[in-house]
Amino acid sequence: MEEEQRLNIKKEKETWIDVDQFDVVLLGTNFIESILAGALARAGKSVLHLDKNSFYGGFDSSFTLSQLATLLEESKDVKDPIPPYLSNVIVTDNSKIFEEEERLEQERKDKEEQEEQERKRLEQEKEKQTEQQDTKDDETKGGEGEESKGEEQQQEQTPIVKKPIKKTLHELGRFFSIDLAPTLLYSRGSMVNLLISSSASKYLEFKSLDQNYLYAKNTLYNIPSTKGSIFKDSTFSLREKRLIMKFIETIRELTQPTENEQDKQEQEKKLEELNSKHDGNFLKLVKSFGMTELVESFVLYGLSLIHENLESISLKQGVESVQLYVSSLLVYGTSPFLVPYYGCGDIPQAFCRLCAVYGGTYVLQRSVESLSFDENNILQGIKCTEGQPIKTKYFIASPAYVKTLDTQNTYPTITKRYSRFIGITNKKLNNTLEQSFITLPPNTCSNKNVINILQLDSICVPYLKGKTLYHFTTLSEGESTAEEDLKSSVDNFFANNTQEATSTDKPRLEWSSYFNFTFETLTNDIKEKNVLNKDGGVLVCSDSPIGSTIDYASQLEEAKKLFEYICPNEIFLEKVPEPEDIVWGEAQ
Amino acid sequence: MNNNNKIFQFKLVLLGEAAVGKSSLVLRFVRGHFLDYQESTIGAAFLAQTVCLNDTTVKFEIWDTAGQERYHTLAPMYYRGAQAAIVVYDIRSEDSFERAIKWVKELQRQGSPNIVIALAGNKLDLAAKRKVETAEAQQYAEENGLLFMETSAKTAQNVNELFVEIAKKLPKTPTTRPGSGRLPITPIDNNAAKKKTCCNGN
Repeated sequence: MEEEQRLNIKKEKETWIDVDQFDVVLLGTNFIESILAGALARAGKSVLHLDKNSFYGGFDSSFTLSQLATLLEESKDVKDPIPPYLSNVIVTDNSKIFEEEERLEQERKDKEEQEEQERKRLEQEKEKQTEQQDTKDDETKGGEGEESKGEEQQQEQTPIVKKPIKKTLHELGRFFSIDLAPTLLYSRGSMVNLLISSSASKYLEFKSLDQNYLYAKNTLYNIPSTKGSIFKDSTFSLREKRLIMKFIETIRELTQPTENEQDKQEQEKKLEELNSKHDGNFLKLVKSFGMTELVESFVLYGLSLIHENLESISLKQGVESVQLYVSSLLVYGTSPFLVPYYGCGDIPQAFCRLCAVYGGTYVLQRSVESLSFDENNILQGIKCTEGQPIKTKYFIASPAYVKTLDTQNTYPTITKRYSRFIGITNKKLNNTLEQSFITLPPNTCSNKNVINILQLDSICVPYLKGKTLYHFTTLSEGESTAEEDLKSSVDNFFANNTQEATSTDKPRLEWSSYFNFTFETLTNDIKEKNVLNKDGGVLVCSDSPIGSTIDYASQLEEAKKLFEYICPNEIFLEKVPEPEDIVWGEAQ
Repeated sequence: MNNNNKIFQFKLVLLGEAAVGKSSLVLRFVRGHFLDYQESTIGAAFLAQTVCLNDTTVKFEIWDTAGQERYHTLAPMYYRGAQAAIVVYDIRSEDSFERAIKWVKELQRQGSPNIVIALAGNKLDLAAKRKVETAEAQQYAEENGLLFMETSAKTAQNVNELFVEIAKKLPKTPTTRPGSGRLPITPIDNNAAKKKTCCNGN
């Protein structure tokens, strides 16, 4: 019995980590934890990074179709879920019905074709007979007769060429990269800047979106990317175009980067004047332009892309976000946005790799069982789920983990909920470019909050022709489910069956899912406290895969604050030296 | 001649159990040297080395595992988009050979279609302690369409040869690297970009 126990312990210890002391232990490989891990290792800290899942990125990961379906299915059974979690999950898979319909249709066509060929063959035979008759009549035409014989042989051969077998949706499923929380990167936003400055961009490839749209009054309006395209645009009236240009010009004057001190002071003065005139409120500034309803929508929802608490957005924040949009245009493509080629899930992976390159240790499918503190409530170490004790000064995880592991201290958070829809269709929306971003202002399709729609190629293999992938995202308030929040907008764009698709020419939904996404985030003042209050080495970071802005700016800010708390005098993600600049063999 | 010389760039990943000599192989190939006590991680994103064939130049962008193979936590991003892979084992360790076979299967399942895979039995300088027979590995490689060589990073035996064989086998069509619309992001000249945007130009 004792022997058995000893063996068991030995067996368990085989899975133990070689080292049992680290400067920092992080649990969870979400976006914030991963960036933080990369930054800490880069600054010379020893880092242990764990994740209870078998994959990187948690809810910031990208999934193949079958992985996503499994995840959604499993989340239906979770009792007493802790954030981040999925709820109100509905999955509709019509792909088999459509594939069967297509098969029958193809059979019908093939049969028709066969009959047609048979008919032609008979006709030709008849012709040949007459021709032969002709040849007998006129011997000089003999050559032509032979030629037609050759053609005939060719024709007989053509039906043998096999048509490529059409792959089913689920066979294609493994080439998909579907984000639970899709996020866009401004070409000149802080995330892209960091990816470049930290060299993490070397691990990634991106695609630029083709076009942004605003959906209003049952019309998709192009959001123009150049002055020229504004004036070429036929959807806005001349007056509306002037209003748009006037607004953008005003923002430009306020924010244009300048070296000249005098110009700078002038800019500040102007901003201050506007600020006091409009009580520092962005919405009031926009209203002061006397825009039409459409132009106002365009500016507020199409350009500023701040989709939460619009009434209380500060003038400065609003101006900055419009400036960010405008300065990101035509950097990498016509749209201001980039998305990772294989989904947003690659971003946490890139920073985890950076961490590993600088000596960070990674163990997946391993969590933390308990934390140990000394009498002064200072963290001493952690115990892994495999029983291994590990000494550490800092432990960093999302609120749900920290709350269950450290019950002595309180960590106040706020819970946010989003409604999501993911759909795969047979084609893209009419009159749109392939990779598009569409904004639906409130009350467009009986929606309370702004809905963001992302239209993407679903398949990341260049030579495989794919289906079209759709993401709908909106902030959900109260108890409404994702289906309640999004169904009318989804039905507005897509057809649920073939009859409807044929009569309306809408894309047909082959696979779709509604779900709610709940997570915990730290409010602004708690964020400060959390970082600055010495909680004895236990630090909390938000789950937040989706921020109040469309990009990663707020999450990045949070990672930076946590980093500065642990490494006050270090550079956040200093550039990695080029391989040519590394001296080998001296780092012993 | 020079006019015809085309440069092709490929992503090559290294796979295999810890301590079989993956980093040493790369360092021998890229830097031409060998350290008896190579640290288990390398502080570089990846290394680059060029192989010249008759009329083409092949540039390898070589990714090392950065120790992430240790607890089996290599990210899918690692071998995503890789056109070539070297799966390394230690000829003195049957376990490392078994593990190599698992990696080959993983690549065939998850890697890019048409990926060129090379199997390398490393530490040939220690052949006296051999546990994995050449014929066995050779047969496995043939059955699975892999390139195969036994190498020694220490003596440099077959190291360059291995990379050259891979370079030869890689498809040199202009479409190999840039897929439709895929782009890397690089710093952009501020002034050049400014001119193009609608609000800064006139």
